Parts: sequence; C-alpha cells; structure tokens
Amino acid sequence: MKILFINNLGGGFAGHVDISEGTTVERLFQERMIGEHPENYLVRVNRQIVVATQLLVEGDRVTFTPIKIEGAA
Amino acid sequence: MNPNELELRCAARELRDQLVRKARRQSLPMFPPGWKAIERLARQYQMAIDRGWHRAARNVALLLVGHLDYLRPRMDELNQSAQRLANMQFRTVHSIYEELTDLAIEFDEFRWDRKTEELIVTTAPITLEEIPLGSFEIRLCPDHPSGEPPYRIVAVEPNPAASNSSIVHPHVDDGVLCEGDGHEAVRRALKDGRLFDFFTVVRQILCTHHAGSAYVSLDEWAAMPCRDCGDLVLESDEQVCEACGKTVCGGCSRCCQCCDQGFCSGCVQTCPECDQTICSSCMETCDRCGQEICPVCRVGSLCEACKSENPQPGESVNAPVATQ
Repeated sequence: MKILFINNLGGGFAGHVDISEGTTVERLFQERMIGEHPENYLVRVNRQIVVATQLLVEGDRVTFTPIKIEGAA
Repeated sequence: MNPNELELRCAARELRDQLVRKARRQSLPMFPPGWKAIERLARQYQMAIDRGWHRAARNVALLLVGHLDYLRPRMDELNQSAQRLANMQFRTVHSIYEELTDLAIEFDEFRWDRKTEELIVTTAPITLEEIPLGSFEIRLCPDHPSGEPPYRIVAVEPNPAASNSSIVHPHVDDGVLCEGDGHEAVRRALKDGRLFDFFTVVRQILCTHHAGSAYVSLDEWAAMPCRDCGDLVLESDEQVCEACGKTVCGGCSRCCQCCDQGFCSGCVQTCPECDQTICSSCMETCDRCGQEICPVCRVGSLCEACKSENPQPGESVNAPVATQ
C-alpha cells in the first residue's frame, strides 16, 4: 500500500512509497532511517502526534523531522 | 489565541488565491530568436527550387539545418515549460484549511494577517544554553515579491546580542534565518507547499544552537565590544570606564595614578612632565601657562617650567625643586 513519506533530514525526501500491510510507525522508521534514533525525531502521522506502535494505513502522511537542525551564519 | 473555524476557512481561501496568483504569473519563456528565420529560409528554398536554382536551394537547405539544430534544445525547453503549466494543479481550499487547523494545534499561536498577506506562527519561548531568547514569529508570505526571502523571523520580546541589536538569535540577523543544515528541507517544503513541514523545520532550527557557526555565539551573547580594541569582552572580564561608562577589556583599561580608577584611552592623558597616566578629572592646569599637568608635578599652582622661571620669595632660580 502507498503512503506519503517525508524525511526532513539533510537533503530531505518527500514522495509516495510502498509499504507492506501491518507496518507500524516504528518499523517504518527502522527501515527508512537507518542509523538514526527515533528519540531524536519529531514523528507525525497526518500531522498528528502518534505512538510508535500505530499501524499505518493506505494514504497516510508520515513525517520524520530531526529535533536538532543546526543553523548557520 | 488561535483563529476560530470561520477565520481559518477565510484564511485558507485567501491563501489559495495567493498561491494561484503566484502560479499563474509563471509565463512561458520567450520563443527563441531565429524562429522567424525558419519560415524565411523555407520560402527561399521553395523559390530556388521553383526557379531551378539547385545549388542555391542546397545552400539554403544547409542554412535551414543549422537553424533547426540551434532551435531544437530551445524548443525542448519550451515544451517542458508548457507541459508544466498545462499540468499545474492547485490545492483545494479544504486541504489548506485542514493544514491550517493542524498548524493551530501544533503551535502556540497562529494567524493569517490579511493586511500583509502573511501566515504567522509564533513559537513557544525559546531558551538556549540558559539564555532566554523569547518567542519568535515565523512570518511566511507565500506570494512574496521576487528577489525577497519568502519568510522572516521576528522576535516577540527581543533579547538581542549585546554587541549587535539586529541579532536576536544566534542564527538570525536582521530577520533572516541562516538555515544551515535545514536549508534543503525548508526549500523543498516551500516548493511543495507543505506549510506544516516548513514551519516545523524552521522552528527546530530556532530551537538548536550551533555554536560553531553563529552570528554571535551564546557564550558571547552578553559580551560588549571593547571601546579601544573592539574585541568582545565577556561579562566576567568586563571593566567599565569610570568617566564615559564604555566597556573596556582588561588589556586596554588604563589606571589613573592619582585616583587609582580604571578608564578607557579616550578619558586619560599623560602628564608631560612625569609621563604618568592621569584621568581628565585628576588632571590640573598651570595657572600661568595653562599647561595640563598632574597634581604631583603641579607645585603650588604652576608647572615646573613656570615655577623655575618665577621662583617664590626666598627661593633662587637654581634652587632644586622637590620632585616625586
């Protein structure tokens, strides 16, 4: 099933991806954000705060935004 | 206070109108020069063929090939622009309304300023490394004039750097946020029209201190520039000129040899006779010649030179003068 996946880390990614039935937010993070830790991210599904075990459904909009994003001068 | 449902719907409608206006202003690029030459060359070729001028026809055909080679990539570009305009889709008012509703939940304050046509989100108060910077407004103008940044940062209750009042955040100068690692995420969110993501990313940049690349780092936030050398002086090392009140660093502070107070270089002088540093308040003048002189070298009311020319009664011109 397709969801809209948005990753605001670095160069970023925003696009539709295929995921399998029964994928949770936590599992999606593990698959898509390799090497990253979920506690360092704001996680939103359909722009709402959710629990890690929430099951994703067709058409969901999932966003991972780093809590710390360094600005510059 | 966040807007009610009616205000949100009005804001969504006005925002959509703004986005459509901006999109419609994108026009097709100009037809490339040389386009009309194709028609002229085609006519010339036909004329040459009709008159049996086969060599001339061949030359015109070669010119035609050159022009077409020049035009081909430019026509491809024109084609892509036309396709983009033909496929342009606009968000519905309802989808914008839903996004504004979520913004109103995520942020402390959110409003649509109809006068400036800006979407304004206010962050919660931000404290970085124990320095309270206050809340910030992130003011986005989707239909911003070309050449200007699409958004600006405004401190609600500014606590700027002591050395520069236009720096209200380590990464904000004169309302412009230097996005650093967040630049691509901000750019993509704006390009895609993902307002919620845009405001979220900007807020996270404001909530992060990158000491290695700040206009003024937080450990120098309260530092004032030395009046004499210009270096930033930390609060713990700060000295204040007793005369003018300006900040002076330890290296530039001058001590008056009379009153033992600290001064900047502009508020002290050097006694011409003993070369000691004397502040303007302690410096005296010779009653005869007006020369500025320290109290120690001013014997009676005269400087040494005047005193030696005009000895007091009972003294000779050559009598030794008591010195410090």
